[in-house]
Amino acid sequence: MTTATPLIDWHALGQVLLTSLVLGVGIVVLFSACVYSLSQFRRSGATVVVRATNAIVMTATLAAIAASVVWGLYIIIHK
Amino acid sequence: MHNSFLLVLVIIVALVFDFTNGFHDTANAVAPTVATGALKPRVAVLLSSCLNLVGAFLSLKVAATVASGIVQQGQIILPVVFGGLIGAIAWNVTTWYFGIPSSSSHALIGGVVGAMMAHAGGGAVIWGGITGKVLAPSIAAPIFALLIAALGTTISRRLTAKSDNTTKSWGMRVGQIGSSSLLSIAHGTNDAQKTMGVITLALVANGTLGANSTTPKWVVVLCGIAIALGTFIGGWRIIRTMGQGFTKLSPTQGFASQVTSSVVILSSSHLGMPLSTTYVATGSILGSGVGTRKRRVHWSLAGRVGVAWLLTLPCAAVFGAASFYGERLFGYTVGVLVMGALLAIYCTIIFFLSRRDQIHAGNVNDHWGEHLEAFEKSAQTADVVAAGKP
Repeated sequence: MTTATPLIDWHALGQVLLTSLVLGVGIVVLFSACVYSLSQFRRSGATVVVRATNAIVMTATLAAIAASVVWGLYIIIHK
Repeated sequence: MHNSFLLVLVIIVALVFDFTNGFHDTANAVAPTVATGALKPRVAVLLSSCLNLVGAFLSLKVAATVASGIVQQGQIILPVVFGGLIGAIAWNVTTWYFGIPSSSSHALIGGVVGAMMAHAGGGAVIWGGITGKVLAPSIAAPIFALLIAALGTTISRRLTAKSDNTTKSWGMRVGQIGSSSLLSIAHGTNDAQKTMGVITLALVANGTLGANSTTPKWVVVLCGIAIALGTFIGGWRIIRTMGQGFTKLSPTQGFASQVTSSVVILSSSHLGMPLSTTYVATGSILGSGVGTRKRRVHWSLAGRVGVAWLLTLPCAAVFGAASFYGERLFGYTVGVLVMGALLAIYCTIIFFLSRRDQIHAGNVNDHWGEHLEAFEKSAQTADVVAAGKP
């Protein structure tokens, strides 16, 4: 006995929603954190420690964004 | 049915459709970038066209869906594909003239379905495929995009609230160049593939390829080039509507909307869903407006565009069916030439009409100025009225 295939692939739609929510909001949040850190980094009177911390945050967020984009494209090309 | 002459004509018209798809949908990727001044209009469309070409080579899942999941491959003949393409081009050109960001994908699918129904009746259409793989994602994806862009814009606005405005504006504009690039790749992966699917369908109909064959490499190359050229021409009328009409875009909104559109389109392409990139981009732009503090969105314009969305599938289907009947009336070989000539005349008329109120790279942000000012004034009036209420 075979089970009928549902007309609408809810599983696939759910996957699109979840992936888009995590990556879409995640990338925007990471980049906003990067912009905020850049703003603090450029602020006049910022100490060396503040500058160094913000530089690390900027590098880490940009690296995370680049990694997620490359990972996403890799999956699309290779699957 | 083997007819090399007809096959060549179908492939040429398919590439013309791909070209119109490119210029019709340029706005999806570049409208926010142009509206916020992150890139100059010409540079934005050049970058977008190059990356559309790259995107066309990344995946073939959507092409497979279009080639095998919309109509019964065994019953399709070349004049059906030709009629569908004529219907889709006619609808695309009409909506471009009015600056309406409607779906090229729905126009294509509607055109092919209409022509197929005229040829073999409703039984030859895979209604389950249309509902499950076209309609459902097309309704769901813009809603996802609206919600995600609204959430992203809200969080981003709060995170960067204490940043200095110059750095924030500069940073977000730089981010927009990246997000616009990603969106152009996403557009190439989804939209170029639809024409690849249609050409594959034509090759199957002609007996050149077997049923369920994969898309040949030369088809991928030609479609990638056609959509890239169309994108480079730039559909300035629609760029104006999307960039200036729905909401006044800030760099933060532009970035959030473009990232959202990219991830929704790429994840859908990966699952083989031929969704409308235009609807997703529009949903994201509206969502970015909802995410602002005052939530100012030009909903009346969004409503008018929504009506055009509802009309796209049936109107393209009617155009496609009419074109097929026209071809049959004159005999297929002469008929395709007659319908092709009629389409050329129609496109020429639309082109000359558009010259009366020309939108180009130099004035794409200017023309909406007065409309936007009126919109801002009405929103301010509404605020004053609301504030006066007890």
